[in-house]
Amino acid sequence: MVAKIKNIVKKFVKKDTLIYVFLRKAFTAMRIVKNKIKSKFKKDLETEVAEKAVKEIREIREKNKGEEIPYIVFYHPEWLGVANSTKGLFKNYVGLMSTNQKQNRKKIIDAIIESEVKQIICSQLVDGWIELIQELKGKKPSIKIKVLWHANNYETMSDFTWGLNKKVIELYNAKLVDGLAFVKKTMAEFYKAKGYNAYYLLNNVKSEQFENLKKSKHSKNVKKEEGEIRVGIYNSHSRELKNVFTQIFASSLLENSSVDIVPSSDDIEEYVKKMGIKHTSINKFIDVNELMQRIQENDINIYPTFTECSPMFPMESFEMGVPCLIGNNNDYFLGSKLREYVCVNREDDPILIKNMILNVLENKEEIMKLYREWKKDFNKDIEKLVHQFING
Amino acid sequence: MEKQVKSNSLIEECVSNTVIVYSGRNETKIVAENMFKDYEMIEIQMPTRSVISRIPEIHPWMEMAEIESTFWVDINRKLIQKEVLENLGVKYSQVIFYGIDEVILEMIRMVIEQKDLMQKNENGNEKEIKIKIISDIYEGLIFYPRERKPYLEVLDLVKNGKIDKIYYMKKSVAEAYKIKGINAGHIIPNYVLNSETKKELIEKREEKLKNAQKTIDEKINIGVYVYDNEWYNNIYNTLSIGAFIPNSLINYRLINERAQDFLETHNINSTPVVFDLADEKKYAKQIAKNDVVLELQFINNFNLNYLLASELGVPAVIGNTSDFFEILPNELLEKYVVSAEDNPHINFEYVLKIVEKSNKEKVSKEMIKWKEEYNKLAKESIERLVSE
Repeated sequence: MVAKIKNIVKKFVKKDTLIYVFLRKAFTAMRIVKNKIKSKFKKDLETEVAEKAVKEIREIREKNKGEEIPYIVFYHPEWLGVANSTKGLFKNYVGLMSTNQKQNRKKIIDAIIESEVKQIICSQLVDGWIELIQELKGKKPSIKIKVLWHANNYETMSDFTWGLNKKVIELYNAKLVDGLAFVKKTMAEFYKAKGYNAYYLLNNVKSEQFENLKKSKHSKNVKKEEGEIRVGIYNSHSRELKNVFTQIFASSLLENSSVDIVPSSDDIEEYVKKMGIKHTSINKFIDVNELMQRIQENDINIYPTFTECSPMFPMESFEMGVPCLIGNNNDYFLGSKLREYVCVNREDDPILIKNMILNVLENKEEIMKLYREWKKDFNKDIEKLVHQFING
Repeated sequence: MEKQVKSNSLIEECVSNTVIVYSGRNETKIVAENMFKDYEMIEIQMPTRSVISRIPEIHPWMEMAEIESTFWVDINRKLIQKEVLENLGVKYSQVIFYGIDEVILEMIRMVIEQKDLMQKNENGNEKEIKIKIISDIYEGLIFYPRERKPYLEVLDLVKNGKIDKIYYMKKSVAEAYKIKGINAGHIIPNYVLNSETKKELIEKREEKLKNAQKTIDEKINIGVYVYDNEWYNNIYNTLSIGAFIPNSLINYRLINERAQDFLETHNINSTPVVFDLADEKKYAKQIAKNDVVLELQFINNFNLNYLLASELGVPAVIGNTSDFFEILPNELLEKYVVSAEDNPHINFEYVLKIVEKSNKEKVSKEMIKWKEEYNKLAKESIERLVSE
């Protein structure tokens, strides 16, 4: 509309005349006023998300139809690892970003109290959530508050994570947090040894979410050559502990192999080029569904990182029918022969990784059978752990 | 199969005509000076930690561009010119570089250039000049450009024959590069204590053990001595072991405030110590005062604590990324190799087991015996490197 008016004006009013300049300035002034009015009434992102969270809390209450809600768990929807972990473990989850503004915290707290939920769980801590916890406990001291911590003590190196860790400990010691859960057994045991009310959980993936994905192949998938062994290397580009260069190097020791790397990076591309390693890659994160469709083309995926808590990718890979090597840094497949096949004990040993890849490829059928058997028991075990945490 | 070690006279000849040019950074310096103490050695001067880099807590080195803007490169160029290039083909027919970084790479290029120039001028009367390199890094340690860039450049130089051979301290990495067609070999990392210091400290320890009163409240001294705050040192999972042993005392080398804060926040009994790892006697004394030493890095070439602890017979628990028992298997000592370095709730049990009265003495004696054999293998490995 504005463009049409401008064109009409331009037809009848000569450029650079006084009236043209006046009209141009008037248009500019009106646009500035319009934007100012718009921004005054437009909600900021934090408020939008907080109001959406209030709506979700009310939906949970509605869904439970007058019965007591045992818990609601809050997670940051853009922290993908934390988000997937939360959704894999719990039912009553609500996405929530920062709550730095007091009025947003009040809305959330009022909705929580109104729902009469027994306890809330914070899946990791986000800006403003410490104040949220303090204010909620102040208004309703009987409500239980627990924190699910997604890191291990390695992360003490990070200023941000250590700062947050100490805040959680302060909240616990001030009796504002009633329990702590960890997705790594050693962390739960560490805190228990120090007298905390600590629980152990393990990340899980729901098999149902992969059924539809398995039926479709992504059109952008690069076809394998005849006889080629394709090794998938994913989510390993960003940190030294992910051990990405050993993974690539080890895979390249296989005859007639190629690696698929997502996300890749300039550093990784430089390495594979210098080393003459055949590869395909995407230099950014892709949607998890797209990733799952992509990995189906692979013979094997590998993820032998130096330290983790409860990495979800290996299980996602198995769910898509592709075996995955893991590092000796988590508790998956314990008690199953599967662990001997896929758990890399010496993560920096390229020859070991290469030999384990070959061994897995030779025994793929048995390995996938072992996984399916293990998963049935694992699902039950996780339900028990979550139950213990919720009721503890 | 590795070549047989040549005769003593050939080794002596190699010692006299070889110069070791080594990087002066962190543990590389300490290990290089010990392994090659019988050889002519030239230390490449490196900026100290007081020099500011862009991200000092993670990258204590300076980027090459920053290095060039200082006098460090010039100093090293002059050093190499005077000590190596002017003696190349005369005093030295072999240059072995130890450590890979931007500065050493610059020095390597200088030596290659000089060698090429000499070979052009000799007109058929050329004396063979060998250039070799011992890499203190490999794929698990090249995440950051400061390591990866010079590493890849060095590999290129090996591929095109400008560097005769590259040696790794990890057997499997050497094997992997051989598969890739690179002229790669394996060298056994080692540290041998001065014999007087060793004798003195072992005798003191044995005396202490004889007189030790066994009480229920006997404290278990656990040594944790990391060089710096590098990610692979896995400091906090190692210190966490103290939480599982109430009567433990963690003796740790204080490298930053964070470690102290961590221990105090979690109320883990500890004593910080400040000393330079290059001060051999102080370092050895620290090791010797412990009941057990922990070496639980995710990845490491040297495992200096274990090498020293085994010299002194101080029981030690180590992570399974070390090669020690690939090189020289030992049924007893292998029981104290952990498989997951980030699992303090399991690893503390290794500590308790190793300090049990019945085990402690047995392990202590076995470690000394094992280390003596290991020293022989390490010595042969160096002789092989210099003579081939």
